[in-house]
Amino acid sequence: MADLKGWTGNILRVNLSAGSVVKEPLNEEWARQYVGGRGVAARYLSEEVDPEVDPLAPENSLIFATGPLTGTNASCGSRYMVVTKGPLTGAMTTSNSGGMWAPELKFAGYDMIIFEGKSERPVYLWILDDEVELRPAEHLWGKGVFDTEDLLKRETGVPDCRVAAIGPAGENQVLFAAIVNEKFRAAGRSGVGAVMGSKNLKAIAVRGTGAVEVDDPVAMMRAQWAMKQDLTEAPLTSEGLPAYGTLALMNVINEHGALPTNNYQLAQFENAEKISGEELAETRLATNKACFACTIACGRVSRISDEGVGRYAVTTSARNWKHATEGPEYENAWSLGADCGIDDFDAILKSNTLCNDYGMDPISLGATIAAAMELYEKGTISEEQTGLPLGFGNADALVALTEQTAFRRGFGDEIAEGSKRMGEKFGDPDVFMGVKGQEFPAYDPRAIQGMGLGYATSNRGACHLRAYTVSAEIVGIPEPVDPRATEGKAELAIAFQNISTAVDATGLCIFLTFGTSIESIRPILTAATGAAMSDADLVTAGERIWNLERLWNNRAGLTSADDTLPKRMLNEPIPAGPAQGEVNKLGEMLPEYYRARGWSEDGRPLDAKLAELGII
Amino acid sequence: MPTVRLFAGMREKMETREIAIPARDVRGLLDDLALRKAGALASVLFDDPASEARVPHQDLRVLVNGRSTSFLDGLDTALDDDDTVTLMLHGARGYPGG
Repeated sequence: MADLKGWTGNILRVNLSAGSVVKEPLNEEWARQYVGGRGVAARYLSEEVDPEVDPLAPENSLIFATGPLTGTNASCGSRYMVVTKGPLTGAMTTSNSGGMWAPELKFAGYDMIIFEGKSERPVYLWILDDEVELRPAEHLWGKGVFDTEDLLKRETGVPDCRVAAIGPAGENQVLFAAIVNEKFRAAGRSGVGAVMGSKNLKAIAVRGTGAVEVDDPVAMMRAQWAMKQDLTEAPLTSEGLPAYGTLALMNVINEHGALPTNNYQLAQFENAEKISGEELAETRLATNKACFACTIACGRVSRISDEGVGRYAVTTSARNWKHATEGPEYENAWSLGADCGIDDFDAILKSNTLCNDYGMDPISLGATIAAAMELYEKGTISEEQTGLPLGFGNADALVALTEQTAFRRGFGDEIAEGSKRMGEKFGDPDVFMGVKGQEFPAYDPRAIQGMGLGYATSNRGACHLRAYTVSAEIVGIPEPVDPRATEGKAELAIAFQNISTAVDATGLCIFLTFGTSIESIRPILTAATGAAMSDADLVTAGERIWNLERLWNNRAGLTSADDTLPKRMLNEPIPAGPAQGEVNKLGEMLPEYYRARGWSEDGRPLDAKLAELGII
Repeated sequence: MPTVRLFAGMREKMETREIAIPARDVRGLLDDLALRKAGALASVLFDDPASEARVPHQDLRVLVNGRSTSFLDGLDTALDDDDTVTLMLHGARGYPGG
């Protein structure tokens, strides 16, 4: 990588079937065209993996990709993206994580790792600068993420190495298994951990002693200073997120009547206050926590109870806080809480912690348990089948099923398939609340129309981070947009999709955008890489990546029929609360979305658009 | 009289979760609150608390029965005794989440 800075210029290609590790140069042309991380990895996957591949077959690749700003001094430059074909969705998935792992990979001298094939026996990848090797991991198989990290730090003799690992859920190919780094930061969604487990790859432990070279350090510091000013001046990034974390949203969304409750049967949870950010801050918050180079620090370190030993004791961080854990994020507290009708914060924290240790996505886990609770209350499934009473509000059942699911024991084996497959198996597919096989996050699209369009068109299945129109529709930023209207929502969703995709590709955290804008981020990218680029060019790169993902998904067999919402969202009005009577009007928004995207009426990127973006 | 519900930063500034305010519209309600808690609170309710032109602070969002006043009648939104008013400070800038 002679010309482009910010990158190390090296990728690791690991063939697990052959047991080989090869260092090769990063494709610079793709790095320029697709910015980084999510974009460059999507291009590699497009070139190298048959879209029709079985996600859990050796022919699928698993790519860990950083961006050009990962590991630099850019605020929040901590991120990496795991890109693969997701087993939950059958779509290209792009699952993002922060913490310290990705910068460490850059310091070791690598931008990306591509895993191919399948190891005959469990292995982990060890990286210490130029020393890279696959090592046996039979002794780690079956262990949780927490033990795996502790053991690897001990046995490598490098206690400050960073570890990304799967737990039992990944090993057992739970379809929403996650990859977890530093115990509590996760590439959580779409089952990337199951792909890792299918390859018999337990962990990647990395230590790097180098640094990331940037093109113009002075310009970078100036641009960085300006962006830090933005973050300081925005109360949300300087006060709100540090004080309450994302969990501040619990009461906000509930007040708007958009908080899905009891598997989306209701849109307000009467006990939302008991599982809110305010409640956490008052009763359990030990401190907040930041990822690498982060100036926001939205992470939560939470005590389990006033005395330290709650109804569900958790001891994960003995060196620092005797009876503490991390989290929960808003989405997790919602899925494990309101969506299951549960207001027991101890149970939510316990289940959330188990999700980190066992390596599972709490959103899909909680939402699938919620769907099972609906089946149970309808009488579709019985206690004889579930092995425990499964009505809404049963906190003990939540914790028990979290355990069972990771190990595919008892009824947990059904939960492990996700709510789409589980509903189909028990003859009630309509209990699935999601898109493309992936469960919804925590915003009812009947109350927030743009979120419905964002969910339906998300390339990785239902997701709030791909088009967070909540900002405009609920928060009123950049300008207030009526959440119940459909006009202009196509353009709004597209704008959010393109910009968030571009930010993802840089290696920065999307939460930066709560206090700053692309106009402040782009100069940092330019100073780091040395590649001339306008603000518009960066957004266009986001559009390019979005279209490439869509094109690959089309080739994988996904069509406009997959850009839809559950019947409940389209036909069943919200029964009570501020948004009573509302349904999502996807049919009014989707055709306009396709038109504005430059796609065909059946949702396929047209050649003219692909040519305009330089994809063909 | 209308009930005002407060969260996060607003709750900290008012030192209560809920308060009843005798007001006939949102403008009157904010004026009443500003009088009760002058200083820190007034400065987050209005852009310029000293100005007679009552311009709501850019970070303030007011809901009446869960509906933003941006889509009702703004400060002129009428209030009934059984209405619930929610006051929130968002503090976001840029293009949040995008």
